[in-house]
Amino acid sequence: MAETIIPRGLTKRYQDWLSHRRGKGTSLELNQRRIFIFPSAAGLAFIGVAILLFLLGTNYQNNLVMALGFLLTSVFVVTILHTYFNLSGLKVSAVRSNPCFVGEEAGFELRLDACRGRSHENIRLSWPQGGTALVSLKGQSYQFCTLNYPAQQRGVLRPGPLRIESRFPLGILVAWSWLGIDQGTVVYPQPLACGALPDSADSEGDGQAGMRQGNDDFAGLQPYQPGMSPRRIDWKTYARGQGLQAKQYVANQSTHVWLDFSLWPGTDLETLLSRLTYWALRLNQEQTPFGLKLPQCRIAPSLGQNHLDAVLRALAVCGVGTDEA
Amino acid sequence: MKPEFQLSRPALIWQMVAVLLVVLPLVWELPVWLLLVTLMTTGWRYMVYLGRWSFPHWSIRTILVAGLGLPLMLKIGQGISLDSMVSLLVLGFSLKMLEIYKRRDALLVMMVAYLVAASTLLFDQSMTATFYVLFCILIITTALGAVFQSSDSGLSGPFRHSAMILLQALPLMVVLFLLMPRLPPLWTVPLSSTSTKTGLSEKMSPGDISRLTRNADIAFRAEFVDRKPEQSELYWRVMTYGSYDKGTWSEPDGAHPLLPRHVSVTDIDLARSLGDELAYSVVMEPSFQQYLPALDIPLAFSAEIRQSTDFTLRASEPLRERYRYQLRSATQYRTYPRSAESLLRYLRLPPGNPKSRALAQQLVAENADAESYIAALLTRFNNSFIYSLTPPLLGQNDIDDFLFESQTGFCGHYSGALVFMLRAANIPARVVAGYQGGEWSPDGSYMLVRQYDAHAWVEAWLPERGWVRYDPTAAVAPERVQMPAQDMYQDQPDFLADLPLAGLHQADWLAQLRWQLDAIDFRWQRWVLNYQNRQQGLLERLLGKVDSIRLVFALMIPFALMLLVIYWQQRRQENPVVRPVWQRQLDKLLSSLIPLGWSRHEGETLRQFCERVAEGQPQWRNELVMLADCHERLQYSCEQDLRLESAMIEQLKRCRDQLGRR
Repeated sequence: MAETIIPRGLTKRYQDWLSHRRGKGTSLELNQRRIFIFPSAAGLAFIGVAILLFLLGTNYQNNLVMALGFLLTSVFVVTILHTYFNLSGLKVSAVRSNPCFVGEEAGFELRLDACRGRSHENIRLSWPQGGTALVSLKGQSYQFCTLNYPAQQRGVLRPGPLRIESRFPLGILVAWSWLGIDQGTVVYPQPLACGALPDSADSEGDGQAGMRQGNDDFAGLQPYQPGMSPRRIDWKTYARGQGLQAKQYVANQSTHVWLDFSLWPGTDLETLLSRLTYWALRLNQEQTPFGLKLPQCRIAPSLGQNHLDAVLRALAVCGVGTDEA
Repeated sequence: MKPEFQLSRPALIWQMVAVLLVVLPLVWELPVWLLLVTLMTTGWRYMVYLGRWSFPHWSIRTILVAGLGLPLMLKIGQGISLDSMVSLLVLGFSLKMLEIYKRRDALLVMMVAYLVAASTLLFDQSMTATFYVLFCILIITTALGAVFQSSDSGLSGPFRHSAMILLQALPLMVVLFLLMPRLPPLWTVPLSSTSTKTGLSEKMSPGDISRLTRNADIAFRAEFVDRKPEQSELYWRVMTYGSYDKGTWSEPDGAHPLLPRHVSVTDIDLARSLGDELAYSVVMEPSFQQYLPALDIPLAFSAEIRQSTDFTLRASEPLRERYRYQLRSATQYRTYPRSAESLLRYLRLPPGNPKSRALAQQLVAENADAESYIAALLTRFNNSFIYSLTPPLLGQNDIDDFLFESQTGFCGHYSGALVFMLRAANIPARVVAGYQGGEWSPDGSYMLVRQYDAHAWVEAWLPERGWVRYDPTAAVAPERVQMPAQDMYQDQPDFLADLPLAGLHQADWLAQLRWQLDAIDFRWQRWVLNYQNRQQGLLERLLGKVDSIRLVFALMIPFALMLLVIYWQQRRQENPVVRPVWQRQLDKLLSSLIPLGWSRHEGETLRQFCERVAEGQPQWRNELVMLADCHERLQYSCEQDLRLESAMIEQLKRCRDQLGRR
């Protein structure tokens, strides 16, 4: 709408000016270049009362009522400074962000540092579409707060400029600032359950055998320790006077799984990624090693949280660019 | 409804305190039921806050609004007056108390509270009222702030903040007050639908003035510019009575047309000054009348005042508030008639009082001219008459009864009788009502005239001199015009009988205290309430010349200065970063390791450093690892934690002991 009325060049220059004012970086300090201040609705009412008192005083030739009008005007002017000082000097830094799945809320942790021993009260942090948090710094030099942002799309989530606002102390003025805090997180695809894995996922004989304990082939002896199954004791060596030895077996590691981009031909990309996500989570839980084959990347089969994170991240950014979060 | 928009406990408590404080001084001005409504709704809200009651159902609220609001609206429909408007505001915010759940409701109530607090000053402009209203403003601002401050600041947090803001705002207010130009009234709303004040009335029955002698209210104050007149010169003329009927003196409407603005009686040759003049100013208390007291013949006066052909002055409208005016009067003068016919009404007498008429004929025969006739009458008064505030009642022929029977009375009786006797001798005469004398303030800077200084005297028309003042009371009791009424009346039993502490009134220290308070009040009056009269002069002295550019600069410079002061104050609150104790102790420990050959590399964490040291000195390993643990816990704790800090300090101490044992 706005673009249709306002010339594009002007809009762009305004946007540039705004983003210049917002600043950029993982840690930003609020100063007079970034803080905007304006009367709130309550403030306009307050000014209205002051004007009314002036008129009332004029009309009744009553200097005292007029003086009250002047007092309210002065209070308003003084409050501008108080409201400004409540925000100024405050430093906001990004601490960490937690990845999440589509449909959940990503949590962003922020750290607020007070300006050299000053108090900052009732600071409201919010994203236009996200959650809000109220923080008060009274006597503390810093404080952490977590802001949530709904994740609606897989990929890298950058919540955009953060609005930080304060109406302290009287609520008649609102000081605010937009901070372009550099902060982002990865949103994983939403897991989607789907029966069993197609057979093509099992790749026999491919890859090296994992060293998992099993009971297929004898692999040697090791000293018996309490807790081992008594059935594994090699009584022959015991009879030879070589102490208690337990027999070791190894299972043939043929069951690692490849999660392949082409497992479910014909399904659309998002469903496919959701199913792969589901299986990655499930296989990891079942302790079945798995690998990932995507058009751009290939992750060797493995297990563990780090592996899972790498796989989920690869699924999240598949086809949407890979700039680092 | 988001939780952050709900009202906190301190906000609610401050709101209730503010509402009650604001309504309290209006007890005298507004109907009692309205204040009961306020008490009830506040009480109800308190019970809701305690969790004992719930908010009233919407039907109850509707009934309350309709049942209480309609009568008020009907009253306003009959005619808008200030007290009905204030009633409406008070009703509105009392009922709103019953539905304060959210910020917006609270804000509305507080804005109305500001207006109601200010309206108190329309009814009462005394200093006490002003300080009370200032206190109310502080509490309302506190309540406003409490809405926007976190509830953990408690009750005192918002109060401290708003007190600070108001303190900083006061100097700015003074600047605005001094410099902002005043405008004339834009429209008028009657102050009160019913208000009665004591003062002179437009009719005089002989008893009226004795009613005023019971009253110590201040009538007006006067300040003389150069010469201070004698007590006996101070005849403050307020009105004249030319008609006499059934024992009552009065003045019919239209008997004395008002002259146009900017025209005085000297301009149309009704009077001429013979030299001696007095310049003075008067601060009149609200009288709800247009009459303004003035000495003798006022020659020049403020533009909005008009003069009547009997030389008295009228304000443009009834005085609802204190009113200050400046004027100059001629004390020696000669007056001329408007026309010969205009004097005829001052000769008219109703029938009756035969004995007095006979006496008049007898005295006319004995005396050659008017002046000796009057002198004879006054001598008569002087010889056998008694001055008293409690005279006996008079019968049908009141003048006869007074002159021949009771011979006891006060100014009303004497002046009435004298005018009767003058008219009976064909000398035009009238009664003048006003005030006589007054009390000088102890420092002599101004004169205070109270209602008990009310007086009546006589003016007689002598063809060669015009209107001449005669005071028959002075002939009976000369001290009445030579000393203040208070001293004069003291032994009269009825004097100030209406005052609750009449006995105390005369105590010395109390009198002194009263004078001091009055002096403060007078300054307050001159400098604050009537500042607009002095503004021009003050600004001219301050700025040299008053024009808009200079005014804007004069406004901006103090403002900028004040803002700078506040800015500086805020910056001063910033303290340099204080390094915690453990940090300093850790630094000390690390520097004590340097001589032993262990120094921390650039970018090395404390843990890495500790491990490196522990490799060389295994006997320190335990303590060093624990130190690194403590340090990490401290560094990564979300908030300041005193327990972690003290653990760190203890661990540092153990490390120092260990190193010392080497």
